[in-house]
Amino acid sequence: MPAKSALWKIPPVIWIIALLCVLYGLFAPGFFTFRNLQNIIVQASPLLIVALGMTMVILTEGIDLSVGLTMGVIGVFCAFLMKTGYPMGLAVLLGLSAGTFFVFLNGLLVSTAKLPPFIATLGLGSMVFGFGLVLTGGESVPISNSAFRFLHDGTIIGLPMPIFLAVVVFGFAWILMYHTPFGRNVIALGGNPEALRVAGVNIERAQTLVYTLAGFLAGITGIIIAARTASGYAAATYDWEFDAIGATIIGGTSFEEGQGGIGKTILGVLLISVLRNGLNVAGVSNKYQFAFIGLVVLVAIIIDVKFRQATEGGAEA
Amino acid sequence: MSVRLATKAIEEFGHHKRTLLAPILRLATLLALCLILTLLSENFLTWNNIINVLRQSTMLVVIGLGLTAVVLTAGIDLSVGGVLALVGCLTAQLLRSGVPIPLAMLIGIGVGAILGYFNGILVGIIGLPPFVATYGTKWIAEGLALILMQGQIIFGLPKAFRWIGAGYIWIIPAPIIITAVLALIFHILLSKTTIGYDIYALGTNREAAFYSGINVRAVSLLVYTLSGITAAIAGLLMTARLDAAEVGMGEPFLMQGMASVVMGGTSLMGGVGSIGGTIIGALILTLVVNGLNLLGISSLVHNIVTGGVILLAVFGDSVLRKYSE
Repeated sequence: MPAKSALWKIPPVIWIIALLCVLYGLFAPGFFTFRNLQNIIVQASPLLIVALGMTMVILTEGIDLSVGLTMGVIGVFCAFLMKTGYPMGLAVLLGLSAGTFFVFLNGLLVSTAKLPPFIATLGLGSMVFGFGLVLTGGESVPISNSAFRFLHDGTIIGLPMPIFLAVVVFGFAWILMYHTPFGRNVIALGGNPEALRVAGVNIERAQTLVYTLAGFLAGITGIIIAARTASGYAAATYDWEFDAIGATIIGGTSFEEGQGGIGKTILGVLLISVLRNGLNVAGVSNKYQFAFIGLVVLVAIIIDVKFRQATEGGAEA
Repeated sequence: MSVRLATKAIEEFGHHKRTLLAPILRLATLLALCLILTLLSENFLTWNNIINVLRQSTMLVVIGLGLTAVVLTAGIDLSVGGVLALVGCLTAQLLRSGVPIPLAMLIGIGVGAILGYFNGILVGIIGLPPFVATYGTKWIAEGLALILMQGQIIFGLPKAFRWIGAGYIWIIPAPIIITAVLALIFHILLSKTTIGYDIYALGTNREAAFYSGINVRAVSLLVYTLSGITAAIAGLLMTARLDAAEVGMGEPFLMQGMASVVMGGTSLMGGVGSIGGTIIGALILTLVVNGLNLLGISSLVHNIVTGGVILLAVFGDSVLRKYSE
């Protein structure tokens, strides 16, 4: 049955996205308008950028629970620097570097100090968050710089800035992952680190780099969000790592053995964005979305693990 | 084969018990902190302040009890803050709508137990990595709390309920006595019963535990359920003490609860640790916070300190581990 097997090859995520679109099309008038569809892509773009970094980390069998806080704090850094009179370009550069430095420490904790990734990132995330709070006294810092706001509101060659940035970042990430030794190492790190070590690869360095890169991407996302809200607020994005992890897993990257890839994550990001957007258009309050999306992500993870166990022929003890 | 693995697990278990350096270091830290604080402030060594520190530490200790059991099996429960908030909010809502106090508390603890059991299923039966499963539960619990509260804060709870957090038995605050009783129960469970032995064995060597006939699934279900219950009880204590409940009330407790456990010498790799250690860990953390307050340092700094303490403790544990091997 060739027709059936072709259909069977389409990843289930696409089916779910299609199903959601049909449901929303029926029950949420206003979902299928050009404006709203563009909105979905604009909303999905920052999530894609941060999820790309998360995907790389998860490919190494790691996790980064600090991205949401890192994002917020980098936004705070930029806002704070601009408020104290730094020109925008310098503020963004310094903010990004500071954030990336923190996350570099994160990488060191995991790679050389051998801390479990979730505790290292939670601990450091908490510290970074603390710095962000102390810097601003826990307040939100308004941003009036219009050039900065261009990073979210502007357009380049007809493309809204977030989409443009996401495309560029994805291009870089693709080249990095699939056409450089770094990418090969990342993929091998999750699959078989011992083989890598025997092959003479500096595992510690590769691991540190992955976390640093993920933090850098989180920083870019944080800046886009700060531009969107025209403010820097440390707690603004504290729940983003959950969406990023969810998008990665739903897309089909697994916590085990380095299976998956950044291409798949696009689908996961789309699914979460469509889900969220549709709920918004249908008038479901944010409060309900929180628990609902948490449940969807958990179910996706359970399916992923169960599916893997089934294909591997029986669960282990 | 299975006998050999089991013997090996027992040997490893014994070996870890023999490392005495770490507990001495911890007690020394606690005493040093007390000394520093006594020198810093003449108010420190007063009955009122000591009682105050103990009362502040109760929530951390209670959360730490269940969390210790989970971490001993080489698991983790990142949902404790979320469960605490949900149970606090739910109980407050129930009390406000006139549900009798014991029933409201029982429902709150029941919800904590259910969420914990849910974690247990995800980890022990479905086989998700513990930090993923419990992180998901955290979001679900916080989401449910959001739905329940619709952005409001509840205060003005019945006086009889507030007693568990703010009342006294003779001159000792009720929460301290409640916590002491719970700690004793957990201590006995972990160190004097076969269930406790199974928990340690599971964390020391999962495979050996499985082959020596320990019901690995049942132990996982049990420890996560216990953690849900203790987080729920902490939620009740917190709500009663504040006389208020709001969605964000669990926020600091995940990091601080975890800091107490790892600083108390319970290894994230499982199999090593004790309730006594966790109590000392919670006291150290409370004293650090108390000291920051005495020095007039902003509470915004607490995040930095808690994060740093966790990293140091986990790092110290891995160094000690290498050293003792």
